[in-house]
Amino acid sequence: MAVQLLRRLRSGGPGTSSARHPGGRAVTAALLVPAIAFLALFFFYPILITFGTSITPADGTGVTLEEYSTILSSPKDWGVIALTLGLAVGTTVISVLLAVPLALILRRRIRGHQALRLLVLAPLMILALVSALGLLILWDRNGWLNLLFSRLLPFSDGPLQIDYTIPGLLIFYTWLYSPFTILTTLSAVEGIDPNVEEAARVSGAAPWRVFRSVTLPLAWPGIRAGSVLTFLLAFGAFSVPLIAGGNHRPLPVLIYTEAAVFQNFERGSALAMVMAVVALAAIALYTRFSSKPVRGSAG
Amino acid sequence: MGAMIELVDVVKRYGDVVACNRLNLAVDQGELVTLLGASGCGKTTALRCITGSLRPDGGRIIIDGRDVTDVPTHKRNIGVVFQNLALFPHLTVVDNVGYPLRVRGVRSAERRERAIEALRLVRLDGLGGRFPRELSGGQQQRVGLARAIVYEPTVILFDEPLSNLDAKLRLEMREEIASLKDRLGFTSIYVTHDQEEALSLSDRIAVMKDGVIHQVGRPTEIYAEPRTSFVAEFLGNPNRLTGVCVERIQDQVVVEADGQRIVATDASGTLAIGDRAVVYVRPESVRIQDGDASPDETTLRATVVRSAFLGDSTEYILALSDKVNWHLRLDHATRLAVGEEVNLAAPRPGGRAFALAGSPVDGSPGVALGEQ
Amino acid sequence: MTAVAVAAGARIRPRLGPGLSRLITYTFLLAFVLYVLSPFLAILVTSVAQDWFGGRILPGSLTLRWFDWAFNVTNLPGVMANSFIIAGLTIAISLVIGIPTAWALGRRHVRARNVLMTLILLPKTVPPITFALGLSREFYSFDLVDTHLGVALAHTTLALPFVVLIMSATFAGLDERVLEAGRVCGGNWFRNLVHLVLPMAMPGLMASVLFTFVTSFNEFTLTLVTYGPDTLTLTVQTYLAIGDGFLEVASAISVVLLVPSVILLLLIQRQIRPENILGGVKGL
Repeated sequence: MAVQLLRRLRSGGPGTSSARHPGGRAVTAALLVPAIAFLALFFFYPILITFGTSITPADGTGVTLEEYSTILSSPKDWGVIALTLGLAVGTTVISVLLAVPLALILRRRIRGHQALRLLVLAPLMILALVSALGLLILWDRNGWLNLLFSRLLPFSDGPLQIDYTIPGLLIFYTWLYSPFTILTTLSAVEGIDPNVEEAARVSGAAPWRVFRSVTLPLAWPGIRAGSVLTFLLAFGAFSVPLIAGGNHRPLPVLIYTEAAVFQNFERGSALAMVMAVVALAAIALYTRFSSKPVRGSAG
Repeated sequence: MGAMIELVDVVKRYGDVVACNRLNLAVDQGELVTLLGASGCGKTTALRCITGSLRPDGGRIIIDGRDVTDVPTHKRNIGVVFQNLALFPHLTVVDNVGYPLRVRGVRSAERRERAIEALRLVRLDGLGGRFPRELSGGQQQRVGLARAIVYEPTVILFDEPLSNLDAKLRLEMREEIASLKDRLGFTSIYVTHDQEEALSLSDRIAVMKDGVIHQVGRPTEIYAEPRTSFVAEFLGNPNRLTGVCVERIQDQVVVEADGQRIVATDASGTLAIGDRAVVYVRPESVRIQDGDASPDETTLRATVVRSAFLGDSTEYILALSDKVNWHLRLDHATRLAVGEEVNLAAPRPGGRAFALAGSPVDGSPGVALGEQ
Repeated sequence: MTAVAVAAGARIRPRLGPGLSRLITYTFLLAFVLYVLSPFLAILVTSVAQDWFGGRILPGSLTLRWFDWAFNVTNLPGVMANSFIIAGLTIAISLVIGIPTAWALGRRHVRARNVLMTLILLPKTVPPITFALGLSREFYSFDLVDTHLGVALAHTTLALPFVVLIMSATFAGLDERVLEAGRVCGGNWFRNLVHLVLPMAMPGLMASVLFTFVTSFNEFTLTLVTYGPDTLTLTVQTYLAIGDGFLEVASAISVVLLVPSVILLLLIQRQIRPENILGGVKGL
């Protein structure tokens, strides 16, 4: 038995010496079992249940795609999917537009940049629900921001209605989920060798040119990584639209409402599956088409 | 004919430290002037003032007759070869070299042609399609060179371009740069701490210390006739003798220390009898005296302390007194034994003397005067 | 010295650019700071507000009755205890499962490492609502609803990826030479573990505990579908208060919720540079 184990070790690939890996693959497997079992039980099994429920007809026998066909043929449901996607895309775009200038400024290490970096983290550490509450109060019809705007913009008739609207959700989502994009963008931008940008300037490129042809292409992988996260979070946002969406219900809220409130588990599960598929498709498309941000190789 | 590059009273401060202290320098067309000094002497700061990445706190910078002190970097039309290359990692070699042309609106076909020509000039034919990370250090350095010359700037600056290369590569690249300069005729300022590089490449050298230029001159001048003790010590590896000036004959002085005497040129011009002085003697000018001294030599007595075999020669450490050690490199024709007493013949005059202030006559170095 | 140089003198003409761009920069930064801080300020003020309607900048008077209500009527201490207990359980379970896994992935030869990593990260990449429903039904059948253990298990699905990510990087980064030296000095694997591995892995461990705590303490979606009267957490309680329209009470509870988070935020910024937190997630 020991001989067999040793022989297995020898074929275990680079870096597999018996001193480094006592017990070989048996031990490795043992180490991995808890995680695999846990995931199987508390993640994959629930998904299986969800899938199973989504294809179970009302009388409980056989298999049916009725729920799916209902969803796919309902303009209202498509509207919900569009809303969810639109919010996610919008949030991502705004986050990137916010992240890039911010990263460029923070890179210069002006006074107080440490505190600023911490501030960027703040939305991540606070419960989304609490942030949503704060934003709700802030943007309330009688809240501070409306008071400010009504003084600054005298031509508007009455306060802006932000809470419970789609633009409002966009603002809230951005507030909550842009930090991921900001952080990775900052990290990417700081990883650029300043001498390379200096070389571009010396070669005659004006500041905007340097940004477009050197800084942006080099920072793009980082920007993209963070924006994928922001997109996923915005797509799956649940607690925020739950309390601040009003009559607008993106997919997560709809799923919950159908399943927990209306007890329509079949429809809820089907919606959940649709949501998962749409999310994965969106990410795949984004990853595929975003490897080169600038047309051509040099700006 | 005005100078191509001029630094006029350039001052740059970092907090309390004055990195550049009223630098004045004029570089003529076609010249390569090196800023030579140890790290922290201000040479890199000066260079960055010329490239425009730093703004001087005082003074002017003039390039080709044009005052560029307030002109941003991208409008100065100079070339720079960086120490750590600074190639664009996301562009191919040919796009790297063609970048300055693209920025200037040169059309794609012509751009490619000129980039390839530049690559040919630095002997990197055929590698245009690769990315910088796929090239060796030496090849990358050539790409940096090509990028700096492709738009034919009249001025090219070199920021310690060879420090990151190994010894053999450094020699090769030195040759490359020298030959490019001859062929293309650009004016340049070269920054380095390596004196061999400076001596071999430069038309003139400006030796810097603590933000001040100690001396500017041809390599032979600076080596043979240093004007400050710092310059005398920095170049080569001189032997030193500290003593008192006991005699003066026109521009030469006789310095005595521990009973030994040497005749040297008075570099500071102000040495009087009784002044303390330090004399720098180039080891290669000293020989072992067998027999009598000739009339234009002085004799110094020394004892062999140590010898080190170096392959083609042997280096000997000789004690002139119990505080002063000199080194001498001899070929194998002469063999000395440790403990042997020898006579050293130094020419008359045999070195450069500088006035010394603030320390007793015991052979220890003190603060030497004699600035430019 | 040329005539040009002399005429120019020493005065350098100031550029318009730097001044204007600095103004824009600082305005932008100020706006950003306000944008981040304002919701918190709003909550803070609301939690002590009385007579604050109809267009006033500050409330008419301040009061602590909302906190009082939160503590007594909604049993805040009990709810807080739940949150902490569940968080503690989550940390324990996550570490117990996560550390061996991270050790295997970080230091041992695993053929399907990338696949496994992706699988472990999956719960964090799909929106929680996708498996929340299934989880809830599963818990009903296993009688795990309204148990601290159940909620903790739900939280672990979200916390485990963090632990594995951080700890596998930590373990992979352990200096092999130090361990070798330990073996040479005669230590068996247990001694090496306690005296060498543990101290070296401490920063990673602390980060894992921190992240797990935050994840569990602030978790809402999964908790919402697995909680019951005995396992009401701060997050769900806040939601219920909002739902009932008691924004002031909800604000008071939120302030209580915020305190650990703010403390942790300050702790974390000492340990880790914020940009590096997401270092491991770049692969997505």
